[in-house]
Amino acid sequence: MFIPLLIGITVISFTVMHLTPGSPVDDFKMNPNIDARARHRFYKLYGLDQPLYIQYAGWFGNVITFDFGRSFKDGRKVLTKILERLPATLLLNLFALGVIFAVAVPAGVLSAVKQNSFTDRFLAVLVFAGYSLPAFALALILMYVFGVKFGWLPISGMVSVNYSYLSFWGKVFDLLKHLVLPVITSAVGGLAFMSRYMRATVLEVMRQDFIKAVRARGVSKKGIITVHIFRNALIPLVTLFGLLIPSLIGGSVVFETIFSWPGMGRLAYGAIMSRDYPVVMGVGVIMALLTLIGNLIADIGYAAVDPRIRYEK
Amino acid sequence: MEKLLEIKNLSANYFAQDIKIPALRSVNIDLKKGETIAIAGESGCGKSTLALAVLKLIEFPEGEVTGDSVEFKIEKNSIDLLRLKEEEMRKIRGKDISLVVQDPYSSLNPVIRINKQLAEIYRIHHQTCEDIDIDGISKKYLKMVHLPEPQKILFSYPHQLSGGMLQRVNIAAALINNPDILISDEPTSSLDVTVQKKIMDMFFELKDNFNLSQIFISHDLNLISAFADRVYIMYAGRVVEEGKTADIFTSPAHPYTIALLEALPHLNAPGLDLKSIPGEVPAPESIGIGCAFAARCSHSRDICFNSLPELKKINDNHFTRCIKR
Ligand SMILES: Nc1ncnc2c1ncn2[C@@H]1O[C@H](COP(=O)(O)OP(=O)(O)O)[C@@H](O)[C@H]1O
Ligand SMILES: [Mg+2]
Repeated sequence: MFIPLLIGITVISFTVMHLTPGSPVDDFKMNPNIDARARHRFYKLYGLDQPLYIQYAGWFGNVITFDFGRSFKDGRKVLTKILERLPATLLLNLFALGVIFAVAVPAGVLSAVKQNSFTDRFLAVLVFAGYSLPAFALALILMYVFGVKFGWLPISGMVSVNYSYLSFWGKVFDLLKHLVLPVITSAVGGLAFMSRYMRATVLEVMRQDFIKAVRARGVSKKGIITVHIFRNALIPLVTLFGLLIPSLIGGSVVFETIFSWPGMGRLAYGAIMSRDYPVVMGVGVIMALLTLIGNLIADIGYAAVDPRIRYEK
Repeated sequence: MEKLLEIKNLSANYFAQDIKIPALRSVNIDLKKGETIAIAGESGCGKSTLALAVLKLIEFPEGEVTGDSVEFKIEKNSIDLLRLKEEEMRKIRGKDISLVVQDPYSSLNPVIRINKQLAEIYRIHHQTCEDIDIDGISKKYLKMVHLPEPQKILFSYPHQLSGGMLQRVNIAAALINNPDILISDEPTSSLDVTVQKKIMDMFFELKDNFNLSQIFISHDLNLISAFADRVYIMYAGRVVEEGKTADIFTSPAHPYTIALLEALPHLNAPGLDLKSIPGEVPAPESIGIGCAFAARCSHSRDICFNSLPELKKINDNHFTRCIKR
């Protein structure tokens, strides 16, 4: 399953990447020391003069032995470059997922339970705003308000300059401070979507017949919501978290660039801008891999929360 | 015999798209201690609504329950369920009055094990400070409803059990707090015929061995004739006839009751043509002021459509709501 998917994904990105105007040697055109012949040698060296399918076959042949090649820019191994950046990206996305879960679930339950109340409508407006405001605009607003105007939070990077002089807890605090704005920005879209989805799911479960039977046995409304409805509403949620992961990871490219977060997304952005093909492709493969892992976790989680999947009848 | 439950003019409305659906209309029902009464009528007559209304399980925005009173004798006191606050009503549900709902497949939470669900019902109605063996108690009740391998059932999820087994679990759940009243809403109608018979056998056993008063809802008059002490016939949200089971079956008074009985398949005369009742139960919101059955009744006259017939006494226990009498 994984291999055909990977081939599909990489063939498409490989093609698109080569079809985009510009080439890795464009930068050199400005450099008076590099003439056309030198540029041509560079071309040949990286096999860029070969037909696309030969280039792809060569690249793929190396990738299955975990050789992603070297960056055109600094000659360092692509895998090394990515692995350096991966923890920062994972940290950001895990926090974003945590925030989405911690906020969307209670918000969704609350607005379902108090359907059509002031709280419900207020949350609906917030969600609508969250949906419609582009994340980069939100990022700029947050940076302006919290970073520039009040100066409460750092607006770029992952750690402060004096990081290495801080105590352990000082380091943790410094890191958390840097996380706040990027995490909020990446979480907002998923949060809006998830809380709405959670609301719909809870309403649907509330209407199921067994709820009435459970109430007839004397279970309190609180018990119904926190035990019976919640357990059932969790099931579709788990699947959605699997779907959320790709959009989060894709979003990393934008958010990491805005907040200068030293993660894989920013690496990808830089590589795309300078047509550093091996790095672009390497990041693509890793992102695809993370997405597939996310889906796998969602499948496992699904079985964990739904006994009807776990046990064959 | 002492009256255990006295329902006076109980009504229930559902709210749907800005209209009120009067599914239950001023119903009067008594249940004496140790008695089994049956509520009969075609589907859509408001039988399930009655069961839910007694337990006040219909509330805004779904609907409302109104009426004069639902007097319930508990120990020496008499309380009016209609006046009870939700929290007090909650303590009665599943403890003093239990309900077995119609569809066993949607009566349990699909993602929680049976033992947890039974334990919950026990725990919410008992102050359990010390560690008691709730699974042991549950097992006792599962055995009582003749479930084989109670240990295995306890640790199953609902989808792993058959309809008949689920209905037994439901009945165990209804009995686990030793209620005074058991309301069963068509407990066998969604089961296979062979399973139906076994579940009914169990209901007979409950009647003999438990100090239970039962409200047995069914559209199956054959079952009722064997099981109930008294019968209430409902039509379009109203009780149209009530009486001792023998009276209802030997000298039915209301044309609707007569039609229901004529529609019964007779075991001893299988060749006989079955008469079905022409037409169908009207939607509650479309019923006029008169007798709701008039449109389907072969005896109906103008007056039937224009005013609701009084409840008329045939004997001390036998009443009907028809001008013919
Ligand atoms: N939740 C509901 N909302 C609106 N109408 C309902 C609802 N439940 C039942 N009804 C209507 O109330 C009437 C009585 O239904 P019900 O009590 O289920 O009848 P029975 O149990 O005798 O078949 C029917 O016309 C039915 O359509
Ligand atoms: Mg019903």
